[in-house]
Amino acid sequence: MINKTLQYDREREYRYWIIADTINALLLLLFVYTALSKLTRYKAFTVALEETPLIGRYASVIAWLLPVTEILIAVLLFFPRIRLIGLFTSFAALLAFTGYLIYMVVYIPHLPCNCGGVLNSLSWKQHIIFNVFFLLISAWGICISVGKRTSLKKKPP
Amino acid sequence: MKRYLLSIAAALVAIGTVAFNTPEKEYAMHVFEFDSSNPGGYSKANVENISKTYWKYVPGASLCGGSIKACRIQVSDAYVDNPLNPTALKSTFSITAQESSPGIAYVQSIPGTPTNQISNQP
Repeated sequence: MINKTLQYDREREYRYWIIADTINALLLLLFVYTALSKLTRYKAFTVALEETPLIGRYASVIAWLLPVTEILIAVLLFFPRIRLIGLFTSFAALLAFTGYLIYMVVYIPHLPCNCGGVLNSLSWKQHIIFNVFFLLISAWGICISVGKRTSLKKKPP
Repeated sequence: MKRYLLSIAAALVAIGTVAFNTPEKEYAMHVFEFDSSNPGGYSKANVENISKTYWKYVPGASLCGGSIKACRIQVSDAYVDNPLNPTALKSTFSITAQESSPGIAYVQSIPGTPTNQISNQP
């Protein structure tokens, strides 16, 4: 009976690490890729930002701030000790960006091209779906990480 | 160390993907400006007309910020009549315009994006 419980615990533990690490790796891939693409195509990205309603006037600042923030989030996600902070930060960043995209699609009649964006082949609506997917993934990551921490605290010494 | 493996792999994949997607060659870019002084002004037909009567070569000009009416487009060597001394857009080039209000059109799409750039004015 004890052996079975231990085996079950080990399997659960293993499953947790697989899911948590996969979620983490996917988010890390997203943030490193988006940050590097913006930096390598800085000029095109700045021009596209200038055309974007609401944030166009801050284009030069945002063109730096955004990739730097994304790299910081990637660093937070990389180290297991601070991973939970990284998950919360990535959730907040994705939530803000998705909110902005939804606002644009709903309220701005003439959307500029996505030419300076990272995922050039995606339309604005496809971009929202893409973001929602990663938003759900980071929410899932937060849930299981918080759940794991709570269960560790509850364990008897 | 095990816990870093997937993270390291993800970071490497991201770096690799960006490296392979970045164009090796920087293309020379040329800016063309829409001339609204022609009869019809910013009409859709005018904006979509790629002749040099409507789209004038303006070397070194910066792009505009807006989305209401046509302004400037930036295209690479492959889309001009003569890359060394451009005077007009290539005859095979096409511009798709959309009306933001009756008689006022903005450039909606051009071939060759994202290397080529669209800019409209407010």
